[in-house]
Amino acid sequence: MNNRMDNTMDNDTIANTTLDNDTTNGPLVSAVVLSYNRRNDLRETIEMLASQGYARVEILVVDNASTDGTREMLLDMAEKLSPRLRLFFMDGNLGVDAYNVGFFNAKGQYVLILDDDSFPAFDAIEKMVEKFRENPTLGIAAFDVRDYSAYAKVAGPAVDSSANVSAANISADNVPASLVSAPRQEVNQLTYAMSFNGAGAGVRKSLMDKIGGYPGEFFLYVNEVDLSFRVWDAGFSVEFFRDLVAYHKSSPVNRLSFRAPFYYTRNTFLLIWKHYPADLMWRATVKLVYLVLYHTMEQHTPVYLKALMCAVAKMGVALKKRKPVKRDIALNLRVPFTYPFTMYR
Amino acid sequence: MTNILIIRSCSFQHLDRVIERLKGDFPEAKFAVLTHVHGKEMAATYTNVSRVIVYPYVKSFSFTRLPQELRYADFDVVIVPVSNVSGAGFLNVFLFSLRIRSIKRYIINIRLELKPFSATKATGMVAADLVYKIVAVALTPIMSGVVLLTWIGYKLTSMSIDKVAGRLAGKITGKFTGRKR
Repeated sequence: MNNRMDNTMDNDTIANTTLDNDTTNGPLVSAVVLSYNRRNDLRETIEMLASQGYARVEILVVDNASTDGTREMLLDMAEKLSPRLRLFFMDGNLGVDAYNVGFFNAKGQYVLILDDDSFPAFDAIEKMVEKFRENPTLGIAAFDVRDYSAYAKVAGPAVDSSANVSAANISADNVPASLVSAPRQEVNQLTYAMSFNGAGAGVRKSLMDKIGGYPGEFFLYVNEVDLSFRVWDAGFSVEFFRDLVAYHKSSPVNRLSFRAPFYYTRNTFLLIWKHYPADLMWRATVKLVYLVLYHTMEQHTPVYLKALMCAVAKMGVALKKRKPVKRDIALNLRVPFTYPFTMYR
Repeated sequence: MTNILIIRSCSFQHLDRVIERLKGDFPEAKFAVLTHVHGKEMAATYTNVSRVIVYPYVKSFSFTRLPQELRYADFDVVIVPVSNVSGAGFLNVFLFSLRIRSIKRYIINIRLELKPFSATKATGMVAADLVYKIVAVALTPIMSGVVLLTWIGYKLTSMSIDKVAGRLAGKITGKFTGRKR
């Protein structure tokens, strides 16, 4: 990554000393936010982070060369929020690769990944730290990401904090029996692993230092599943906690979007080529090719074919990075193969 | 009281909005949510959802996989939320919804527009689906073959590059250590 990183905090050293030496209130958490042309949403995200119940949070904002005045807004906020806010400005839009700049510079024991239009509930960071401390093999704590409109409407913070779902071994035991109906024996037989939502997730920093951050070659989307594969393969878990709540704003919905179906489709190919053992990889490739052809006709769009061609063109990158995960991980981690084909029109 | 079943075929973020909208349209309704097992905890957090039904399969909703529990259940309305405008890509969920006994069926899209859905409409979609499937099945081996050949090409290229690089490295090493190859 040869982009200029402009850390605006002149007193960074002082800031880090202050934050690192204070161990009375628990370990430092680094909230890493990727920003691109959402000035007002980003301001709200930073304000929400700054007002968190958990005090030992540093906020790292990596801006992907926004052109809507985000930079000026950030510099202004940095003056007020020094030393907690640290800024990194990219020369161009690097997509999710820019997150890695934040991950690399994070000084906390745990990294909280957020979008520029998402923020955690007031008590979420403190609870997240507890989860990591309780379980040394927890790699990623996945948040319950809710719609912004549901902020203060859903029962997130009021939920019993002991209620969590192990993504590795989901059972029906954590929800009141009176509410959930399904033959328990039948449900308990379902064991599969999940990925996480990048609009709210905590990651153990030492693990990320070992296995790397987001795959820069993906640019957008499916990066969470890629990281999840590596987390599981390293012997750590990705677990969902319903009492860790984050709120996320909805994207514009009234126009055709080529971006999401394109990147989701292309990156799903790259994902399986990178991580699946050979036989599963070819089986999944044939399945995906079929889905591409089917949905090209169904939705009368060339976007999926373009994504397939682009994936083939980037095959060399996938091959270079190819490191098949253990077979049981490939079989258990749920990859939503049909999801890319549900967002075009 | 109207009995409504919502099939959780979208993200919870979208479902938050859908339920808010439905509360306005059906103020007296009793809501149930059908979700895969990983979504049951989240579905249970809705204060106005009185029942969460777990879909006891790992795979997607399918016409051929109706949970035992829904075989004899009756609903007034079944709702299929879709994460786009037209509902494209959700045929499996629409067909699945037809297996559930209900008086009415609606799709609710990303714009929160509620559109009725009927078996007649599904028939047309199934006919088109059959044609697309036949063509896709016919073309899949060709396209997969192209992908496979490209993969082999990359493999061979990288192997030969590695070989050349290895030889070069050997020569260079030999030069520095005085060994001749």
